[in-house]
Amino acid sequence: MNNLRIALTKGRLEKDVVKILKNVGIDVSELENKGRKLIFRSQNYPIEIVLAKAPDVITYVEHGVVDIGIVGKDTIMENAQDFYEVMDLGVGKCFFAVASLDGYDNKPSHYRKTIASKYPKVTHDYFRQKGEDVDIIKIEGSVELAPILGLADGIVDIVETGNTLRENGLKIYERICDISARVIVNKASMKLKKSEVMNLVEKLQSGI
Amino acid sequence: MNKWRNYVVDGTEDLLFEECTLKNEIITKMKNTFETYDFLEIQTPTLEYYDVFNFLNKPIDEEKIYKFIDYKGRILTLRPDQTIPIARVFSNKIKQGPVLLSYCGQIFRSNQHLNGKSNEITQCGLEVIGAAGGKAEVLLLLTAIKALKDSGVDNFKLELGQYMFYESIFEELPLAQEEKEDLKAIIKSKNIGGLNKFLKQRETLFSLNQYKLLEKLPQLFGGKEVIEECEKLVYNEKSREALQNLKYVYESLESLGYGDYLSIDLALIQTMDYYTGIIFKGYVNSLGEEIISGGRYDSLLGEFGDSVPAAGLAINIDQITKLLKQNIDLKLKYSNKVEGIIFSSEKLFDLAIKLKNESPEKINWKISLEGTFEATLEYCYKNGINKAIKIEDRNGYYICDLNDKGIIERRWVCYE
Repeated sequence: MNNLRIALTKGRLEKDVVKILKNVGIDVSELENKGRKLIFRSQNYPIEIVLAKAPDVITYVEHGVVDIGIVGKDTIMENAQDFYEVMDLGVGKCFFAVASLDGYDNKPSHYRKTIASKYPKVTHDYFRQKGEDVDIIKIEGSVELAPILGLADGIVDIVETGNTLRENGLKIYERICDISARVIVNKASMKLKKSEVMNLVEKLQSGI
Repeated sequence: MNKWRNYVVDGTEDLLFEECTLKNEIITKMKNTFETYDFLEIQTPTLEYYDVFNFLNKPIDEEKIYKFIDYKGRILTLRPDQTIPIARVFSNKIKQGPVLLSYCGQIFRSNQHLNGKSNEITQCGLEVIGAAGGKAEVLLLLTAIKALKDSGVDNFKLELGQYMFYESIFEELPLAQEEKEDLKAIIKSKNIGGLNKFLKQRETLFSLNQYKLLEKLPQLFGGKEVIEECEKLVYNEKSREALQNLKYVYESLESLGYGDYLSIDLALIQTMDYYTGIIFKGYVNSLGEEIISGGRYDSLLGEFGDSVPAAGLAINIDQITKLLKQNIDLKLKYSNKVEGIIFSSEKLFDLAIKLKNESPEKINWKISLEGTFEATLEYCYKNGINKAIKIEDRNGYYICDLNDKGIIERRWVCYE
């Protein structure tokens, strides 16, 4: 039986997921002591794990070079969707919000806002659904800077505690939707390795 | 303005030599199989009016269609599909069914930049127009399976779904349209956790039968056992009929020995209501993409003229070429191993050609287009070819045995 290959988002999500895997008794020692390795095998369960940046997890799953991906709903919403999203892991919880400095909602109704975001598609879909026409500027990081520098009227970003916003004098104007880590599965892998995939999903379900 | 002169357009590629030969061989084999099962080939133009593809419930994302304007201001496209133009042809030219049609050609889709997908795809496909029912569907799948096997593809799975199965269930659900769409998306995504949450929140709205079936729906995929499981869960007439159709097609193909190539997914939900009955999707283990897609689309022909039942499928030849390329040493398979080179002056070139056809010493000779015999010898040394012929005059020629340093031996041969 072939190992299931899983792409895991690097960083905080990786840590949360390692905890869940340990909870359900799956060995992750190679992940905890990485060395120079790029592919990590579990010693007691037929899976291999690779680490990647969030959008790359999706790319790997869509092309079928990994069977399963663990990635935030924010990345899924921003990128194309040609895979199965089978489970909400309930970790990495945060939410999308529209945030800005004071005075954001004091503009005349015909005023065309400029919104900066790391997630232009999410921003576009949200405002379109509201019936509002906005200009969108893509910013890669520290999006809070945009309204402070006067580049944008507001931002769309993920918020966890809200501390970063508060520290920069921004506040939340609109809450868009909740985000959390999801398990995604390549379509062909789901069909061709049904029992292996479903077993892992059930196991993960029991650990959250 | 020649900045892009030396580049291919994103999402397209050049195919050279052995890869090209391989692809053409695959197409030839497929066409032969199609002909064996009495499908008649047709070819439609690469250019079509946009109107041809612009109807409600169209299966193609509008944004992916290459569009341009003609001299009269009409919108033209590079066809994104071959089934729809064939519907146009049937309605206007063939008119009377049932008819079995096959096709092979390029389609064009403007995919997202840098996502690794092709914008130009070669598809071979089949259409059965004017025949409702399972027999047409069995014939289509049977021919496709045979065509794949004949081309050298054996590790594939053909997945069968049924539009009427899930649509009849959804029709009856006491939910607002938007909620139905949400539920469809959750089930399509096989989001088991999300589904449980959705159902629990609306527990009181559903009958026990509905609840049990919906709960199981994302997991109703796999082998024949899925049909049996489903027969116990199904509770409405239309869904039952749809299930029977699926069972008939599955069992017919199984009795012909193709059971191992089949699988079922009752939650094969599509975003557009294009398919009206059976749906097929084919995958290969090592590729992440579909190699076959199709189904029954009884509503299609009505867009062009009289309503007529139709079913068909398309096979992605580029994916198959990619797959087979991995498994064969192409250079070895297609090497037309050149064993000798014949050189002559321009005046004596007719003799060179005649001589090639005679295959002296019974080996494979290539004709040199170099200007001098010395240049021809250089070519031989560089390419490990160890025989060369120099056509001297109309009396005869020299055959030279070579090694990588020079001529070892030279023999004179007279023309008879």
